[in-house]
Amino acid sequence: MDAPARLPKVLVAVDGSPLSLVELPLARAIAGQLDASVEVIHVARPENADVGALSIRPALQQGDGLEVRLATTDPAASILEAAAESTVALLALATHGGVVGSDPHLGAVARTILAATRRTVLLIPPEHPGTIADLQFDRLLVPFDGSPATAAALAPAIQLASRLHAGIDLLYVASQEPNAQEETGRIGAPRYVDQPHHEWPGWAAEIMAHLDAALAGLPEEVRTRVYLARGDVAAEIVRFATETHAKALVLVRRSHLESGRANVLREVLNHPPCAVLLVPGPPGLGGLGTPRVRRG
Amino acid sequence: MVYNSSVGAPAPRHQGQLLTLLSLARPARVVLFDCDIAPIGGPVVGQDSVTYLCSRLEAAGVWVIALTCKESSEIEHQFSARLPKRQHPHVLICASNGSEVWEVNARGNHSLRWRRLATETERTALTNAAEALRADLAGRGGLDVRVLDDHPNRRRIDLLPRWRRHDLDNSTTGSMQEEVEDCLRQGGFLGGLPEVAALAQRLAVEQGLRGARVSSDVKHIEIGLSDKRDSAAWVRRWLLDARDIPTAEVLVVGAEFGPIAGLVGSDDHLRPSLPNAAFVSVGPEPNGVPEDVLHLGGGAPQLLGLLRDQVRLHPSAAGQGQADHKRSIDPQEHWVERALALPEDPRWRFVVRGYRPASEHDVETRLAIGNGALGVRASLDQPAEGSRPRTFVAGLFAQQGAGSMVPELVSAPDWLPIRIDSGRRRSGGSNEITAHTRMLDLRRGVLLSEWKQRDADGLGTLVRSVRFASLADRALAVQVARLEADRAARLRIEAAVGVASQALVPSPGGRPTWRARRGMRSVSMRIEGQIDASVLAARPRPNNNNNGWHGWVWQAEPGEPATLVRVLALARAEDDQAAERGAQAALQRARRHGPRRLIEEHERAWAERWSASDVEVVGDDYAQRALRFAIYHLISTANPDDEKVSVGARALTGEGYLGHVFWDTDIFLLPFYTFTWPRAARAMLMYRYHTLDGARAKADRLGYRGALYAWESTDTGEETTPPYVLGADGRVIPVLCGVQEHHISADVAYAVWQYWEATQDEPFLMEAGAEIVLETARFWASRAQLGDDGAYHIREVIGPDEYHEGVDDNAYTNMMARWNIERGLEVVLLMQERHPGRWPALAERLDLSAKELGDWAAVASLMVTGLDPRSGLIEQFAGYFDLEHVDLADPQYANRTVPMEVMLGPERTRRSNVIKQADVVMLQVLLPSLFDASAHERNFRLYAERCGHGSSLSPAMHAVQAARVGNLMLAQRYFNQAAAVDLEDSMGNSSQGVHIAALGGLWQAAILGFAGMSPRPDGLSFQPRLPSGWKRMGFAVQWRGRTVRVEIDGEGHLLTASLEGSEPLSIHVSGLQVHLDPATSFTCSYEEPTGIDRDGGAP
Repeated sequence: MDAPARLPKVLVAVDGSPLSLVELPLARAIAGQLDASVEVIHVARPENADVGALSIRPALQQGDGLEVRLATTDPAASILEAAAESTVALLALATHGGVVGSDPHLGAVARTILAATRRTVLLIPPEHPGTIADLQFDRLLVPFDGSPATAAALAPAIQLASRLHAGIDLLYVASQEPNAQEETGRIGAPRYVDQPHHEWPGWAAEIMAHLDAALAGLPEEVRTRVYLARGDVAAEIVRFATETHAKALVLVRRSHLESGRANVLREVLNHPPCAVLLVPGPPGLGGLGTPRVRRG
Repeated sequence: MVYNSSVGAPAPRHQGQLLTLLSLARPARVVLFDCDIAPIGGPVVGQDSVTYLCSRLEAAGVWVIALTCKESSEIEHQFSARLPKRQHPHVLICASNGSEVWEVNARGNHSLRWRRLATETERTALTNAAEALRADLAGRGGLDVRVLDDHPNRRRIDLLPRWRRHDLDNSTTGSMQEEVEDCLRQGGFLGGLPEVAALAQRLAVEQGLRGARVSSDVKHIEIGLSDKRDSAAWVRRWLLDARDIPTAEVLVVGAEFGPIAGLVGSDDHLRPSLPNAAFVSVGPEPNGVPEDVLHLGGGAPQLLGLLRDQVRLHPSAAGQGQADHKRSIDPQEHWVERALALPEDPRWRFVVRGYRPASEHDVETRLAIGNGALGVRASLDQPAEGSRPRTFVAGLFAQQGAGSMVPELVSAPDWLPIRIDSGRRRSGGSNEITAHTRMLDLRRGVLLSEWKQRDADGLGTLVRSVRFASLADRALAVQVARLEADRAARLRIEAAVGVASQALVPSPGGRPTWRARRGMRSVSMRIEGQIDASVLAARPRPNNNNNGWHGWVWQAEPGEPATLVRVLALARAEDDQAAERGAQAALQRARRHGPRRLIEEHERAWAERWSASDVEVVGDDYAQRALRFAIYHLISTANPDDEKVSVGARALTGEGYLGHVFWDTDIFLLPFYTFTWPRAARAMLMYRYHTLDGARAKADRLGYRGALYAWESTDTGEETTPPYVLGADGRVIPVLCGVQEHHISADVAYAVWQYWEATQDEPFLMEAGAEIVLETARFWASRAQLGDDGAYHIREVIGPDEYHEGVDDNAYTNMMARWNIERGLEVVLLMQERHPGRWPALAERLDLSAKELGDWAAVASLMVTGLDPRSGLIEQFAGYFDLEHVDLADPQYANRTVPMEVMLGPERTRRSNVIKQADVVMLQVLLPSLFDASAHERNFRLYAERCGHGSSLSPAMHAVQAARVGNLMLAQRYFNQAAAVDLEDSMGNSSQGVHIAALGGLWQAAILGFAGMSPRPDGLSFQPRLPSGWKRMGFAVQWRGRTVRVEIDGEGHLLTASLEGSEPLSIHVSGLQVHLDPATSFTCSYEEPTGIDRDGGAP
């Protein structure tokens, strides 16, 4: 007889500091939408464990049935070990608890975890936790550069939106780099717009068609709107998220965060306007050289 | 032996000579010979004379071309007297040393086919050059020489006046040359004849004769405008190319291929234009011949022998019946293979290899096929992810759903999908496509595909397919697929029809007929397919029980392909019953004709269109591809038999712009149709006539009189511009074009008037054109307001520059309005003069009074134009010159990757002087006579620098104007920019359909810009200015019932024009009036205007 299926869970890492506790309501909200349970992992030094437990108690009292595990060894290692469990659907942690690094602005624990985990991570900046009045992730802001590779990499983000029953605000940021749009197969921002009332809807439809082709079908339930911005990509993402009071920003992580790579991701994390969902990119992209024949 | 055995032939020493020797054993389709070798009337060898042999060859369909340096008058009676009356004359005489081509017509008379005309400037230059040479020879060398002025195209300097002309023959050439060289040396010209020839060339160039031909027969030095190379060029262009005769099937017999007196032999000039032809010399050739020329010698007898051998090689010429080897070819096999044949000429094809979902929609657009009634995107034959198959039906507008604000062009159900497998698995397995190629054959208007697939059972199949929307019967489209399995196997092919969109409401009873939702038309489609396997023992049998797929199963064998033919019959009508009748009748026609005839008639229709429309460019392959691509889509999208439809902004190739009709059609497309396909132009203008009531209603709704056409028009003429749009930044943006962009009424009137001037189509003018011009003129008279300054203003409009809304006195709008009113008054006079019996009725029906016409005249005369008479500059609209200046050359803007309004934001864009597209420049293009040369240049420079080209319409119009002001490098850059819109998807939105207006603009840039054609009331005028790299340009235009074919030699600055039609015509070339007679062509030099800049730069 098979073992009963275990519910997925959202793992929330806290260190007992007030800053880290801001993530709990968000984690609860997203867990609710994912139909998942919430497990808190409280990392603390052995000598501070009791104090820390006391400090998080008020926060925990806001919800029922939270499972709390206390870890008093290496915080990052403990969190990674807990996140490696197969039932963990998402790991939530604050970008930092106290001291932050220079680039990106992440605490040491967050930095170590991001370098090692393949889980989807909900990063919550304590200073700007986002405006979630109704504690509902009903729309996700997803930046998109128009390339087939990025489109294919968005699959986890789309899946997440589908599981959250959320819509997507797809933000296309046209780079100022002259050659930025020359990647093969990439849909560029329109260089000219003749009659805007025809061109914009047409262009947005084409963006959606590209996504649909790259993802072998865009879920119908994920309501998607397309927006265009121009300029520095990271700055525009932050600006748009701020102006539109985005609840969560979804970024696809395709590389580590060391200097010289994932520049946009690092720059956004330096000024996170809201919660950031970091989803790992797919391991590989399918071949695009011949048509996939559709049956019937 | 094919050469005169009495003379014999030397062993060939070079490969070219060997090939020539071999080619002498084959029948030539064209025989070109120097008839100065053997006089036409004689000699006679046996029963044969040159004339007799020529007549035999001609009877066999061989073109016979005689070249002579003599004047036509000297040989006029030779052929005509000896050639019998024939039904199909094939004899041409290239006379006067390359200056004329005469045809010996069916009655034996000579009629001029082409002449090189000398302008007055050229004649003077010839005389001056010859006189300068004479003076130099006499002055420096003390030589007694004379200038002979016996032909308008050449001057000869007689170096030995004491010798008579008839003394000059092969026997005396040697001694005469010695004497000439001796005289020249004594006169200090130690280089002899070559030195004198070089001197003559230099003097000719100094006189402005850049392409002067200098030659010598030893006795004379000749400075002329033509020589045998011009004869060869004419033969190549107007005979061989026009009839698809390869040069390898030409036999050329001459006597002077080798150098004479250090100068190139006169017959050697024939070779560059006729590569791969067989060249034979029968002359003495004392200095040898070029490598590719076979030297036989033997003079006139040898020539006769060669002609006689050609007669023998043509069975019909020799009196024998001609076996038709084609009879041995299975007719069925023949047409299918022919239909599937891939075009070899890269200038006529577009190839896409492989499949990329990310760019698939662009491919589907670019390679789309159409016939003006149907447009079929180039989606794959087999259903595939990322594919967006669409078959658009012209004029079928519907509203898709509750959220739809305006009607849009809708697609018929997809009729193309086929799937092929072994038939063993009913579902679940996918075919693996291992190779895929699509190729658009522009010349035939067909889309070819070829792919290899392997199904889940490992069966490999090669599929070749062709599809076309018949240009001969626009209710029909055909799909042919030929399948071949790689092993003996049971093969199944299934074909299906897709599901109709929600915008189409199915007819009751399950019939394949639909009513456009909230539309006014119905569409019905019938599809019939049959497969013809060559394996008779295993006849394919239909398999109809597969869930909507219609299929066939048969036993396939490798090497024995089967052919599937599917025919779509489709009709659009006002109601279901009429649509059904139309589709059924079309299907009956298809059955009656069969697929072979369908494709043959389709190809014939395309050939006819290309003959009338092609623009050939030699020297710039990119431009050639761009123009052919443009013309292909322009032909594909017009239907001269349907007055109820027009061409939408993305034609019938995509959903962009919802199929709506804009000013694009009238200003950017109509010139192409008016000048190459007047019937199509007329139908589009009749669409404007049929939607005139909608235009009247719009004017009335806004409080004006007359007709204000819809900015966006569909089937009724009602305004269909949506009132607002959700912008890219998520904000709701009001769309004002529908209420403020009024210039469209003048644009329609402009198209009507241009068509009228080009065709003099009186029935159209009476039936529709006059009413359009009058009603639009009336609109403008009511739209303009008399200001306190005593002038008429048109306030709160949007001009072509849509960055600036609600402006006053947009110069384009005002001047076009004034022009429209003036044409309205002209129409009144014209109707009164030409149709006095019909005018009163029209005037009464339109309630036009003399007082109203007087008011019109006042409005036109007092209209504000924005022109500053001191500077010659036109202010685009009131206050434009006060706007913030934005320097588009600044790198942050010059290297932009998004439109300027996104760069600046909408508010700042409105406050800036950046303009979206040609506005004042558009005015310069349409009404050039309003500007003098200086004003043209100044306004163009000012506004071109400020244009952000935020529209695909813009670059081509700038190309026209840049060419007209002489900045050819800039014009070429604009031309390429316009070409890239679809060829390179430079706007990033080709997936939504081709930018048909940009394609029409490209044709205008070539014809109105580079060829410098301008239609004038007194005829067509040409002022060519070919850009760098364009060595030659050829095209045809229609003018008042006649076809004028034009060829421009950009290197030689020569324009050749020929006329097809029954009436003569005068044209103007660089101000020179040229009289064209039917079936005759002329060549004349043209002078480029001063200030031409091929290397210029900004803006």
